[in-house]
Amino acid sequence: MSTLANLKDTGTLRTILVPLEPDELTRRGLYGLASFMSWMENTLPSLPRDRDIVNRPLAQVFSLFADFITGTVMDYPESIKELFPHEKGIWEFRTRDIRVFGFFEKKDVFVCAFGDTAKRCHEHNLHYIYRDQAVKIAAELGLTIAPGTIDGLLS
Amino acid sequence: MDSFPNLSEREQRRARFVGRVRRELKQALTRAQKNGVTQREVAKRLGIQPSVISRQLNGAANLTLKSIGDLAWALGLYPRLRLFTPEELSAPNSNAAAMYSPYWRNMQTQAVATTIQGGSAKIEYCRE
Repeated sequence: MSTLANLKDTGTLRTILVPLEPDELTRRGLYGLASFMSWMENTLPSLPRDRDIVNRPLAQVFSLFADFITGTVMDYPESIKELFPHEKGIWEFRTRDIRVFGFFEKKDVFVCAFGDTAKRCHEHNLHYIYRDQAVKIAAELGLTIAPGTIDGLLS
Repeated sequence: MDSFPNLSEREQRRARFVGRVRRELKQALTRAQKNGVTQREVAKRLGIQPSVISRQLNGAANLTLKSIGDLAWALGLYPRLRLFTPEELSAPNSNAAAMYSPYWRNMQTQAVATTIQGGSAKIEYCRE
């Protein structure tokens, strides 16, 4: 079984670092697999504003991740929700334009595996492809997927 | 290293503030619904379609100061906006509640106030 620390050492996983405001503290952990980090750093910044009238996709993800990291009670199911079947333990972070798929390694520690636009996910029915890929990659990396209990994870 | 090097501090501040305002309004609407006031009824008071409220709160339509004020009125709430310096936010005991005392403590005692925590701008509502 792998640990997050081991995977960070090998570069398989990175901590997602979100600049917080002066009165905020980090209360939850957020990590990204290398492929997700590549998407976040290279693709996401260039995506134009779409359905959100104020924020471009990069800013939407930033705001949602900041909420998560600072321990804000997440807006379920609008901002985060479990994919069916819940037993697989795969969740999606949701903004107006973006979907981020991943899993809780343990309570309050989320690993982002894939990101894509909501539009593409909807048009090509990608949710369940990403779900199954996330399950597979977690198994390959030897990472534990925590049971998806809403009360425990979102409170 | 910051994971958002392509997002300016200006955009970061804006995104967080907009997120907080939307969340606060959604929570106010949810509280109203728990008290039996539907979104349809709120929309009717405002003379707009319920979908307009949904669109404003999920970012599909512009949420203006006017629309925030109107929505607060329709919910029987009073909106407030305060701006903070970094020093005010990071000082001990300055995390939202102390900034508003004794007003905040009074509202807290009555359990009718909600404050958005953790930002350089905060919006506060209290029931009529």
